[in-house]
Amino acid sequence: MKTKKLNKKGALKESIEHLENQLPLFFKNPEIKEQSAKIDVSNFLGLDEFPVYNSKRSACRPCYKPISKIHFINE
Amino acid sequence: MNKSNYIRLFANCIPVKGAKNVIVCDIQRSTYFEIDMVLHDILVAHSNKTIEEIIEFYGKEYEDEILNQLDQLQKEELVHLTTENHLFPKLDLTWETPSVITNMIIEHGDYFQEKETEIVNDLIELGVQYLELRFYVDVSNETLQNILQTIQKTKIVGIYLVLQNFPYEDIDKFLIENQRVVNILLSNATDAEDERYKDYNKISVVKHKIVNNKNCGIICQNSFQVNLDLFTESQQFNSCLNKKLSIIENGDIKNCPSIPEALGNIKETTLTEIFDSKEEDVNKYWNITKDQIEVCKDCEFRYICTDCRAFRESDNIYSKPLKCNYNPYNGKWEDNLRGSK
Amino acid sequence: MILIISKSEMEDTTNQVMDWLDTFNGDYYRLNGEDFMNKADIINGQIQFESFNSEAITVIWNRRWSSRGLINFENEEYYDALGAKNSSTLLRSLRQENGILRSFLHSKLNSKVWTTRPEKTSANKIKNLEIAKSCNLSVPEYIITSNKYKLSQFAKKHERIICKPISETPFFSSSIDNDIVETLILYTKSFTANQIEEEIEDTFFKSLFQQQIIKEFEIRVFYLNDTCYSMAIFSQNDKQTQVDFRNYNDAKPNRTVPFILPKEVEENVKKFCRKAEYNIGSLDLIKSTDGKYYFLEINPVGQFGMVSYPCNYNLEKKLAKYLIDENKKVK
Repeated sequence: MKTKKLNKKGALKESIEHLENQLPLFFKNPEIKEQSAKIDVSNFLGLDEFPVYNSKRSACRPCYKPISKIHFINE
Repeated sequence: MNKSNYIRLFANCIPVKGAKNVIVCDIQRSTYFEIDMVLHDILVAHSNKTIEEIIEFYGKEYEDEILNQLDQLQKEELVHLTTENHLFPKLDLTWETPSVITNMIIEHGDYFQEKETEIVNDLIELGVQYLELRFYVDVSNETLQNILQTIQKTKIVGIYLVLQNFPYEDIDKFLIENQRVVNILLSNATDAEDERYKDYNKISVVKHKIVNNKNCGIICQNSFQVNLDLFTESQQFNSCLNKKLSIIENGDIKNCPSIPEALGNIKETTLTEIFDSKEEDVNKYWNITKDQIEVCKDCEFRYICTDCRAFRESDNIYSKPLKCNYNPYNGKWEDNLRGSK
Repeated sequence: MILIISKSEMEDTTNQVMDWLDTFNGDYYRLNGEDFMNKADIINGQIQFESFNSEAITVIWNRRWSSRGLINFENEEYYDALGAKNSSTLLRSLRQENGILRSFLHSKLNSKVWTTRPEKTSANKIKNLEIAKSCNLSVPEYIITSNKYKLSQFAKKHERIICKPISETPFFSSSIDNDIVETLILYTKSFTANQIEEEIEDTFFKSLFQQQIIKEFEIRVFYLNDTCYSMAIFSQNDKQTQVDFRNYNDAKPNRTVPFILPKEVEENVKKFCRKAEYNIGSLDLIKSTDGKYYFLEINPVGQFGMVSYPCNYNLEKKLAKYLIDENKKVK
């Protein structure tokens, strides 16, 4: 499997800054946000294919209320 | 604070009055706040008075106290000040869904394989969105995988599994490949399983064994949900049984597994057929709101808890759920829960 | 038959509208742009694509086109090897190829009823500001210039000014490690006249500057079939969202509540939509601390889920009904 092409940290901001004079002013002083692309499997709100909607990826979601209220009887 | 302003609760902060207590349900941020009755009156009964007029109503001696309370509400972002009261309407509390049946509980049984195609067609036809799939015996990874693959053809967006065993080595792989599974309740679990899955928010592990449908119906603060969907649905429909159907182990079709009456059996009919032919029986419980149920009608939590009609205090269809030990008349949760822990 | 032109990924609103169309027994077909590009054939001037029949179409909900950009992580390194100039040429060529095919589809559907005609999906902000003014809507004063002196003069007339894109805000991201992505955030920035003097270079590319309107709150209006569905957004209290409410504060989201536009403002908004020829769109306005309502822009293919859900307007159902009714009219 092809590995993702990686860039130097900060290169994105640096490049934009070098071009600043040729760019509209809203490019000035950009902020960088670092985000983890790692999937936290236990919390991840999933996406799935939904052929019924002719959609390759749509959101999965938990129900807005408990479907059942299971509890445990102490022996 | 400019006293010529009106003080307005944000439309998604909705006060609910109980016999003793009042809460404000913040359905946007999924939480609730307890407030006292006087503050409730200020926000509701006097909502068309300016702050100045409110102070006048209660008397100048209460000015500091009133301003203090309003200031607190502003800090919590439950209210805003405005001169244009009439431009901020209340939230429309209508609940509507395109689905005929929104949620189902299916207890896996011998009938399932034989009737799989029909069941899937039903699920699509009825627009079911949420499914709880229960296994009371061990399941093989093949069986579970096949079922989950079949469900992919439907509109179901969230699947809750209730299992006696977890038939896969690699839980991460399973969760990634089955994104529609939003929660797994693993019962009859060993200590090792408890340890293995303890950091997974999507997995709940219990040592007890679930053998049948008697283990349902508990009402407690942990299961409160403060959100728009439940809040609005509760206004006009039964917060548990509305648009719910279930199929139990032997193929019987019921409103929920814990309700004794069967509407038919999946081996002889389909869910759509049952709905078409026995609509009144199917939706018998659907319109029973909390506002019609004994005790619940006086409870401040009535739009954030889900009801239970299967286990009731008496035969009266409007009696309080058996497994709720909150007393809205004194605002206390009683220690000994009738029915179970 | 109703045609939904959408994209195949991350389009839950389309799914929800389809649910309502199913409930209303609507006759519809969903076409995803990427599927058309990948699978449709044009033979002797006719489009052949699965069961798609352009003749049968009556009404079109022009929602989206395609999820995928041309560059993905699998081919990025080859574009890099080509270099910026040649990449740019290649991308332009591919976009033109795609564009011609897409407009061929549009031409086949030209006589149908469109919610948003193809030529109107990308709004001209400046034109719209002028049309809004002609409909008696207040708009922020603005200047487009690359001249620092003129900018300075403009800045001195207002307490603060903001700089924003004339069209869409571009999004940039870069993978710096296996699991880490850097994104470049370009939020709307605010300047005083002094800051312009001291911080801005003498030369810069033509930019759009607007008078900064001090907000009491923001308003998002979804316009459909001559009806306005409005929502107030209280972004003022939170420093993070004060200037640009898209700088979301996930921990404590801004309050979003149903709102009723004052009669005159609503009438003018409707006048604007009719004059600018939009049947459907998401409009942004600001209620200023000076008491006026300022029109900022319209997005004809904007998201409306963010207005629909918090306000419980059920716009997905209303849109489905609208499509069904328009379909009946054509028949």
